[in-house]
Amino acid sequence: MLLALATHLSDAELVNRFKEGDRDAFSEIVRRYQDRVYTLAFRWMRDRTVAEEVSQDVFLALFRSLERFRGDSQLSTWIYRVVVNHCKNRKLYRHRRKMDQHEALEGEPRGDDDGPQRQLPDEGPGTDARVHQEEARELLTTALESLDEDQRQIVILRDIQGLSYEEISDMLGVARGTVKSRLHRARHQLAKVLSRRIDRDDIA
Amino acid sequence: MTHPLPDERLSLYLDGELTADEASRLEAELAADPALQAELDELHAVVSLLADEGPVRAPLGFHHAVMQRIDEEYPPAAAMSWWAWLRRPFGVPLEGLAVAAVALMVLAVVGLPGSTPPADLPAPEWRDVPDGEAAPAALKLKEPGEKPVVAPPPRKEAPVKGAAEAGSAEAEADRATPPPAVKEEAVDAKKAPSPKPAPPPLRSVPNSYDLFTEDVASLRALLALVGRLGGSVTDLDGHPIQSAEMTTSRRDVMISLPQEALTDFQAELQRLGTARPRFDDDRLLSRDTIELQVSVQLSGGGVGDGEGEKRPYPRKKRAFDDMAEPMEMDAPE
Repeated sequence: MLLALATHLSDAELVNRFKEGDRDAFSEIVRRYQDRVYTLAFRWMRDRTVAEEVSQDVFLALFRSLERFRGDSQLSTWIYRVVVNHCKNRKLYRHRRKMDQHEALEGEPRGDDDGPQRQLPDEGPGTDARVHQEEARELLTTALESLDEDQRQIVILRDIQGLSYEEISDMLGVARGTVKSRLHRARHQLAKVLSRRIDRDDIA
Repeated sequence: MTHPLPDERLSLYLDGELTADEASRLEAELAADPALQAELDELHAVVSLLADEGPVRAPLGFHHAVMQRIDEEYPPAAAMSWWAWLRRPFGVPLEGLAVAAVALMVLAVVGLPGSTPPADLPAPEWRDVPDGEAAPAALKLKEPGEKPVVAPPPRKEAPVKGAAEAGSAEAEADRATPPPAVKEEAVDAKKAPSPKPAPPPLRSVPNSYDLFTEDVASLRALLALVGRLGGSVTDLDGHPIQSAEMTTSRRDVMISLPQEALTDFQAELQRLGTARPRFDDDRLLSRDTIELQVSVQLSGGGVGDGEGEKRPYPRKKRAFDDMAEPMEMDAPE
């Protein structure tokens, strides 16, 4: 059962309202999806500022193209697809820019990989459990970075975003079997990396 | 490890993607093979860790920033319907076009006194507009041999930010299909021009609250308050919460209220502790009942954090499901 956190309007109703010219309906769509879009962008880009820029661009792109959403897939899937495309393009752009500016940037502090900064509500004083949780997250972030791009995409979409195999397959344009195998290999790789890190830290 | 190559069934099993028969067979193997079981546990730990990553909240002000950019780049006036755009001053008034067309027809039949059309002037192209074809195209005067063209609606280019790497999905969609506003206008122009009535306005209300309190009794007072206002309190799964269940382990509750009680609720909530809207964006409602999430945070730190929860097979519901998932998803197409 889905929770009644959002309004009573379904996605389809909001889209219809938007198509009728109701901009407030789009505002609600932004509210409804902003965290999910931002999370995916953040996990993908691993940079808070870039994630915010990408997320904003995603919603502007949606605003431009939502009229064409026919409802063949769920709105969420459609939105995720736009996020994935934007993230991929942004990565490509950053990669090219880095290549172009390699010499100029050499030796300068890196601003792109300043690590994840969680946007969580204040939760009071830290506890051992929370510290442990933060350590686990750091380990996980490192482990995720060890994956190749294809594997990381699928892990983020499946295990963090919670999308189905079908949605991922549709979104990335790969066969369902490819999703399965990449996901499994990615998880296996993560397990290996985490195991090595934990063993090493224990010894140290 | 006795399984150098990962057994893909393990992932599928964790995801609930195996059939009942396949799952049964795997479970039998797991029972007989501790190494395989260890591999499953390892994968399960990874998946649990990933699932606990959960959502990252969009930065404060994100919603406002997005809507501001939209307003700047697509001002409401520019977002008016294509029909309205045509009718506005200095646009191409359809009524005027219709009158001009009739006048042209009359002139073509009667002719201006003392004037004859040049012999080399091509006859105007008139044709019937089939059902479903864009009427504005037929209304637009054409050059000989030119295909009917509908001018695109006014739209701006991609946003400045990230323009170089702007997503291709919508760009492809732009190329693949004509602007929908044009299609909509085509329908409008064919029918009697009667703009659709605007949908009822949505009301903006807060979204959810963090309630900071030092007193556990405040939790029960919250329950009583909602009851007085004619609302109800449930857990995140929609189960009603009794007063005795309002303990320090309670973190998030869902509150359903009659809309008219919202003002009183907001005022009273401040008496129970410090209530802070969690999101700075607006929430829009069009129905009589509003639903809010209240996250209780005891200042004394006595509230559990929820960590350490064992993740059962199959996978648990993610925080996303509890946070922003629309309550009614579209039916699968």
